[in-house]
Amino acid sequence: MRSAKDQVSRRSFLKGSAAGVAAATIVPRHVLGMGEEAPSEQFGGALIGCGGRGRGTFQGLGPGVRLVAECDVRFKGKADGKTTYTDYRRVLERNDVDVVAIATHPGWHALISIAAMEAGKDVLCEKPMTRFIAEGRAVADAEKRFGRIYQVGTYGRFGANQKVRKIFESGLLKQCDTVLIQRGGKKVREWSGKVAYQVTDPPEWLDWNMYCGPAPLREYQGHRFGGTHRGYWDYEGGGLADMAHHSLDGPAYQYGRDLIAPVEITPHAPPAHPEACGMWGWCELKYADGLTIVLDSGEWGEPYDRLKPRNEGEREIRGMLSQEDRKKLDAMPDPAPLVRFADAIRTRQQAGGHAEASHRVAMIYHLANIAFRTGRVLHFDPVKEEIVGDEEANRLVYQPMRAPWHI
Amino acid sequence: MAVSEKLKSLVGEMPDPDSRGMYTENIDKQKIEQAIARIAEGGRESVAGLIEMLGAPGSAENVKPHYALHCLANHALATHDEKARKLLAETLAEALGGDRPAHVKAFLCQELQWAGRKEAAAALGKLLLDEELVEPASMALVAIRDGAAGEFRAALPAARGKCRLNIIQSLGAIKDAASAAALRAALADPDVEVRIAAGWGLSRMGDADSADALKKAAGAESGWERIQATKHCFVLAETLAAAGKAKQSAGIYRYLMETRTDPKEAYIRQAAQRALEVDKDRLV
Repeated sequence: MRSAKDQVSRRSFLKGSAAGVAAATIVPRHVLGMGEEAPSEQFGGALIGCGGRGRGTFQGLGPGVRLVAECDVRFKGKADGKTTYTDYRRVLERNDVDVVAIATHPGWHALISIAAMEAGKDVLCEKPMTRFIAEGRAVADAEKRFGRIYQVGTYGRFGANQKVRKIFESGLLKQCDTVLIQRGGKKVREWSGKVAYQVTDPPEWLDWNMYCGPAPLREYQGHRFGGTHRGYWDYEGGGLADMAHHSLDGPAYQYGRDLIAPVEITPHAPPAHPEACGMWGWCELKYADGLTIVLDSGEWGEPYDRLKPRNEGEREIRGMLSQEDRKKLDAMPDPAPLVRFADAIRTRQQAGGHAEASHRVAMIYHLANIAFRTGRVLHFDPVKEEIVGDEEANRLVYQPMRAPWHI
Repeated sequence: MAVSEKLKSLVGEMPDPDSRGMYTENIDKQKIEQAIARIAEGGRESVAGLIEMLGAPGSAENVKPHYALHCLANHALATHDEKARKLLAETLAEALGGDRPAHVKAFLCQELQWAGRKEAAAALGKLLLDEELVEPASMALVAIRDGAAGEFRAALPAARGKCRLNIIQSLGAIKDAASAAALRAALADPDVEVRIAAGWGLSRMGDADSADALKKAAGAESGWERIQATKHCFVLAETLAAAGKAKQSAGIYRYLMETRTDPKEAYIRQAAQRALEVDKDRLV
């Protein structure tokens, strides 16, 4: 990816060329080809998934983005193929779309993110980033391969403690006995799925086949559609998948978890339902350096009491370093500020919540959910991104898709 | 077959849905696990009985046996009881051949996707020409892998439409190198989805003999097919590079640099250039 230094800034471009005069005219970025420095900084934007968080996600693209196309499976029978669509592939074929906001159900997040970057678009995608771990690897690969900007729609890391981040980023801390416990806030009961329900025909305005997408084409029942999609493994992963990208994004960045993953996952939950997300108690996720994250739902079973919060603050973590290493740390530069999406698409710098890092955040809650679903302790290889010695658990790391959808 | 009263009673131990139709209240882990362990003791008769008890999706009579059958499959895995797992998978597979509603068979495929292995491949393979069941059967076979390729290969010649698409995609998903020729032929299929699925499969396999065919496909005029075929070229180049086939890999990147001359495809040209630069010691 090109650094900001390699770029001609908008200001210097305008100052040093006749384009400064032309800047009053809107020149979409695509007209300039790669168009990294469109004089007007006017971007063509598309919103894919217009319900729920859609409008808010589109606003997250920042100023200077003009909405040129909207796509939603609810537009069946009324999409005009000019500004409204039901098939995102037709949107991505458009040359006047530079950036895409994705707010479909999460079963679509990875596929559309990847396809958008393959088509040369930058992507702001609602959380959760993905539905399963292999999707995250594919999104990160597409981001890297095509040099696109990707940001997941949560911003916890932007408020993280940079001093703690610096310690972990330095690489000086080899072992760490920090225990981070997140209690509550995962909406487990609220975002459960139905095990008893009424099957009906889908509404006429809904393209149910497209809604299901890569997931099995099931009989329609209303609770699978709309915000309550969260309660089904086919589309998301319950309150845990829905809320944890928010709550883990900051800690994952702050405690240097952006490029690593847990190696041992210990769940406590009742046997899971095959389709409907349900109750769980807690999950311990331990990293190779010793740091442990505990997710405690507080909504099922006895209160969690196995570990206590430990060494979370800057002073305690710094105290784990030798005096010599503390001196080395002080001599090191502070972490570079994180780049917001609206700036990243203009400067071509990597966005703060880029795909490679967000993939590792998503891994935490996906691994917890796999442990809940399989009901067993898992050992994970963070390099191969596979569960060790458990063929069937790995079937949830890479999940087959219904044709024609594939990653 | 008649379902025993004992099994009915044990299935009755599964939780009742709450007022919203969910499993969120009074979920007693110990009670469920004890009942499942006792169901497991019934062996093949229990599995067959649970299949017999399955009802329409979401219906009151379906809720408990549906959940119990999944818990039973998971119980065999969690307890590492290979004999029980195999027996369960064989019984599920056998039931696929019976005269049951498609939604029941789809659920059995789903459970085989969860816990089945080679022993289930042949029974799943028999569903690959069934438009209603080809999707769950293909997904189960892709998850199982062992024994899947032979089933897909055997079904391909007679497959049409949706069945053909799912089989072509599945052969790519499991990277069946023996099917490379068939996938290359499918690059000329009249169905664009089949062409794209075939290109995806060949690129994943890292089939060097497909480089020219994939480059030709990437010459598609415009639109979705050109975007996808271009991606397949990148994936093939990466796979070849990783396999030490630097010359073929570099050739693909150069092709992309030479052909993506339109400003709107500059990002492709630049991506190919970056790939060559990053790996220049091997590729140039």
